[in-house]
Amino acid sequence: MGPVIGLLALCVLLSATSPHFLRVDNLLNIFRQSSVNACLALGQLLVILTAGIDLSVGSLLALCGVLMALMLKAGVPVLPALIATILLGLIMGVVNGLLLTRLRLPHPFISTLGTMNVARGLAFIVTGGFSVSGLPDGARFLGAGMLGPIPVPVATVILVYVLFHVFLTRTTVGRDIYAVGGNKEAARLSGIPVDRRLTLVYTLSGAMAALGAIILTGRMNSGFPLAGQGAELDSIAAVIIGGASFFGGVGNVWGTLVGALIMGVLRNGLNLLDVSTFWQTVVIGLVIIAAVWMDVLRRKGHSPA
Amino acid sequence: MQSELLLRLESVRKAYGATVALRDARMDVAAGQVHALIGENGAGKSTLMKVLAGAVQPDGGSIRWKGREVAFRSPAEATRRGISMIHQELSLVPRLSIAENIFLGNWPRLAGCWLDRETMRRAALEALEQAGLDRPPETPAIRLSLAEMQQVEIARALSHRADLIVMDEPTSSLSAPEIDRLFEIIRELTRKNVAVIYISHRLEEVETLAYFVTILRDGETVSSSPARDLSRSRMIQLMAGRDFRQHQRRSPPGPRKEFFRAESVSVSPRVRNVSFTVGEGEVVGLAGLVGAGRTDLVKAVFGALPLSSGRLYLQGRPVQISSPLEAVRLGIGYVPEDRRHSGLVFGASLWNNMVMAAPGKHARWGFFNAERELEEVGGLIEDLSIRTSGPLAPVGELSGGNQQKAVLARWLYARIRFLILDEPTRGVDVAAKAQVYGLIDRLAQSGLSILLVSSEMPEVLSLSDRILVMREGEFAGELTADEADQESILGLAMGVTT
Repeated sequence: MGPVIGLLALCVLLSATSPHFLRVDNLLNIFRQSSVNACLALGQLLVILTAGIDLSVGSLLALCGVLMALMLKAGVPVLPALIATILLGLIMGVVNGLLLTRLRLPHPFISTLGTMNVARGLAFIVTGGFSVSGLPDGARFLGAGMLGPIPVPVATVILVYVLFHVFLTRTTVGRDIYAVGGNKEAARLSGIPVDRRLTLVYTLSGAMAALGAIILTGRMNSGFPLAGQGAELDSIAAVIIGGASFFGGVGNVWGTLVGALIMGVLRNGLNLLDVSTFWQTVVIGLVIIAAVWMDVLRRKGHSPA
Repeated sequence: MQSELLLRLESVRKAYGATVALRDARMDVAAGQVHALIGENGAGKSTLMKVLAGAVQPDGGSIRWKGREVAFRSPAEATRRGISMIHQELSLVPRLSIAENIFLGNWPRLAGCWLDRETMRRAALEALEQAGLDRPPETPAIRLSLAEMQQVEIARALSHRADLIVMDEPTSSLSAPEIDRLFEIIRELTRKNVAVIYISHRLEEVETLAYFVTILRDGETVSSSPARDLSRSRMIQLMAGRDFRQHQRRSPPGPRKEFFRAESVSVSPRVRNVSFTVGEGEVVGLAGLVGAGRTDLVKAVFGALPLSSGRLYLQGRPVQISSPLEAVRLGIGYVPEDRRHSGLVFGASLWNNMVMAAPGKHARWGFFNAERELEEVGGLIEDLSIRTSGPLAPVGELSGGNQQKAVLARWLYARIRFLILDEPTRGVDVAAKAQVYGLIDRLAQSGLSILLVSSEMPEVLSLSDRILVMREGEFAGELTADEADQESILGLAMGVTT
């Protein structure tokens, strides 16, 4: 509930200070601008639910993006290009999972720090460091198209959030993910295949990074090897602002969506108020601290003695 | 040998909530003497030593140290005043050198802030010589053997000018020659008028080393006398005390069908060559001292630890169990000794905790049917009288006893056929304990096979049809419910025939 109240309070505040804020096109615009972060954050949420972290999503966004752009430019039809892009995200995610569960690297911070650099490097290698532009029109629809009044990326984000919500709250595997994050040893001793669940969440996180890449490439109509620098941290911020516990086992998709929107609203609102991007970053940092601090206070109020 | 009184502990009391750890502990330690402190698991030895070291504040009683009443507020204060502890788990920092380990937190300084390496090296050499360790002080601790690390700890105590060193099971991981060497060092310490409180389950060591022996039972000092006045069997008798059973189960007579069999099971590094069987509907108790390897053994049977060698059979058929998942699929459940760290997901609901071992029981295509799950969970909550506001309550909000029942309920929900219980009533109040006992009884009656690890003698005695005793990783003996009593179990567990 906390994040929703925060989002509403922010909206009220901004609509009072700027007449532009509450216009429907501005709100949809915010949602559209937040859609890439919302995708990355959804994958990140799954990982954080297992008490892990995925630092590679920003670089994966770039790698998948340039790969998709290169394919489209080479004349690959849109649908196979999309499938290949998602597949690349999945594969990189599986690699993250296996580094953790097979090679037993001591912490996902390390394994995904490694793949973060590998993926970024590959994005530079395949493009020679240049952006890939001049794409055929087919892909624009996914990043900038409209479904009636709704931007396609917004519809896409809502769809995957609903799917993940059902996955996490209605399926046995989704429930396992909470158990693994809440207490890994208890989950293992109850016969939950912990390693398989961990591999799964990193795989899905990779897929969501690929989806983000599709949206971004469509919107920009080009692929940038430098895209998504720091995006992994924005996605973590959205998850945490959205009320998930950094230590696993607690969190839900709607909180994360609200977290991503709060960050979007802040950026947009501060733009409307003519606050410089430098100060925007400061504000976002303060919001992360405040969100987690409020969570700490709430917990203290609850804990018995 | 007449020597001055160094330490007097008088009617020390300490309770943790409803659990009384110490009710009337007394102990007089003379300077320059080895004083053994013995008692069964949970008799209060470690609590008493924690009180002495200032790690735990007593509820009552007095500590007189060198003739003056004291109350140490922290282990650091006790160390400053001359009392050092050497724990069973050694506490050296592996990457630091011997000298740095000795002076950790007690650095010799130059001009108040610079580390005085020269003084440190000289003082370390001196302390090492007294502790009998011939190693350059620059050696990193990680290169030392366990025995050598212990010597570094002794050197550390000496560098604090300790008058009393407490050693908790110091020989548990040493080889025979290393033990002899340690004994020599201890005797050397006493010649320098350093007293040693020696905690050990090995009575032969107590006999060779100690001048005085204090025996604790249920938090009370039951005997304090010179070692030469006590035989080993007398020590066992005093530690065991009266034989009382809180509860007596009646098991049907006659032979049972074997359900589970373990053959020559070894688990590295502690358990060697243990074989046992559990019959259908039988409760087999697994007794032994803490550290005898019981938990390692049952964890390996459950697939949670790798089996070094040995074979397992279920209803006569050989089975491979290399993970808890496989064990659960074969119908085996495990209630771990540590609820908080390995039993429950504290942030999750009672419901989610209870269905964890059989997530697919009411599921189709991977989607679970919450209604039917909650119906069954609700029935179990009622059946086991788990006190809760409902199945959606976070399990962390329940009391210890109800949490334990929730772990048991998980396995009932999963309909397992063989249940391994590790300390099932630890940290549980008396009423809940009786309920857990009743439940174990009922489950056995209904044909479930149960392997029960417990350090509480009365618990093992009152619940088991048969009792296996382990000692230092090996099988020490087997007793039927009729022939077993506290004394016979303790005798086997400590390797003493009474």
